[in-house]
Amino acid sequence: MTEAHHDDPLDDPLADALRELAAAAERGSDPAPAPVVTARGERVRRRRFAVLAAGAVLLFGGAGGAVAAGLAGPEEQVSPADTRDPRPAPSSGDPVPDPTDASSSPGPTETTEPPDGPDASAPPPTTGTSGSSADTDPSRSPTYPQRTPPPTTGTQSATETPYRGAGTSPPPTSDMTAGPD
Amino acid sequence: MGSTSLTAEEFEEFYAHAVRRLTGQLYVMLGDLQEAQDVVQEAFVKAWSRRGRLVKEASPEAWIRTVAWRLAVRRWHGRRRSEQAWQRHGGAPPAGAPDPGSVVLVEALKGLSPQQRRTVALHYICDLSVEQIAAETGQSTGTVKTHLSRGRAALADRLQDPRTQEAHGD
Repeated sequence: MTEAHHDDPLDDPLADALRELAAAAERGSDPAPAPVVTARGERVRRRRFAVLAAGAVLLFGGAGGAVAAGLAGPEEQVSPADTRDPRPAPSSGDPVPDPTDASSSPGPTETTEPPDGPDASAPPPTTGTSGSSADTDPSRSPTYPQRTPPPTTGTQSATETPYRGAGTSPPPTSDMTAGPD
Repeated sequence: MGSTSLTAEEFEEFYAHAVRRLTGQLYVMLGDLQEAQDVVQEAFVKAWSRRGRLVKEASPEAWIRTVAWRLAVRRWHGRRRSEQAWQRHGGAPPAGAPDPGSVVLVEALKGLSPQQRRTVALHYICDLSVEQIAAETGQSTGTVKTHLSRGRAALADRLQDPRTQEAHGD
């Protein structure tokens, strides 16, 4: 051992004692055989790769799920049950019903609810929930134009449309029983 | 593969060449031969799984020594578990009876702080300069000099050796 870096003299008793101590430890040490160490190292390496692979699977799986959710999310705009879609149906050329008046929305079920209605021009005493639930039913939109006036009355408000239509066009059977009679 | 990572034969040759010397160095740092053997072996196990990094190191022995030291520091917090592990494996290999001088020196080393022991061992056993010790330990050169000076003074006081105290005074 060289003393090139030391500021101490070569006969430093402390340095000699420490070197003697280290040399005694070297002589007394009983290291494991090299194949044992390499085998343990190989197990550690495999375990590390397994952990990394599992982490990668979790990372990319989670990222893929997030991407799929992000792609599917904007297309699926589900409106709440008590609100209506302000956009008209693409197939119907009818006037847009007033979204603020839920009780005036047309529908066969609504016209049958007030059996004792004295006047067809008066709004039926239906609740907002029944009208809104009828509006959210997509199966009703194709039947609605059959009971409404022709498209010439498209500028009329949605509030007036169903009840005028009820007086000018042949109403359903249920409307006949609950009509002006 | 040889350019990026050690082969098994190269690694085993490096192990056989350095393990005893590193054990002696760690023994001076730790004051416990069994612990020194254990952490040096663990450091070699880690080195095998990181052979690519080991090749890039300027001094693989310094890398092993640093890893072994960190392992020892970590084990100080769980010494009880380490002792139980030794007992589970049938105890440590029998070591030769130490001479009284070694016992006194080891006890004096145990009176130093861990960083002082490490610095003293790197300086006197591994022949590293203050700058090299600072680079290996991540400390400033001033801190290394302080550890060396205080470590020497504490050892001189504990050993009560007039020659050591005289050398320290110089």
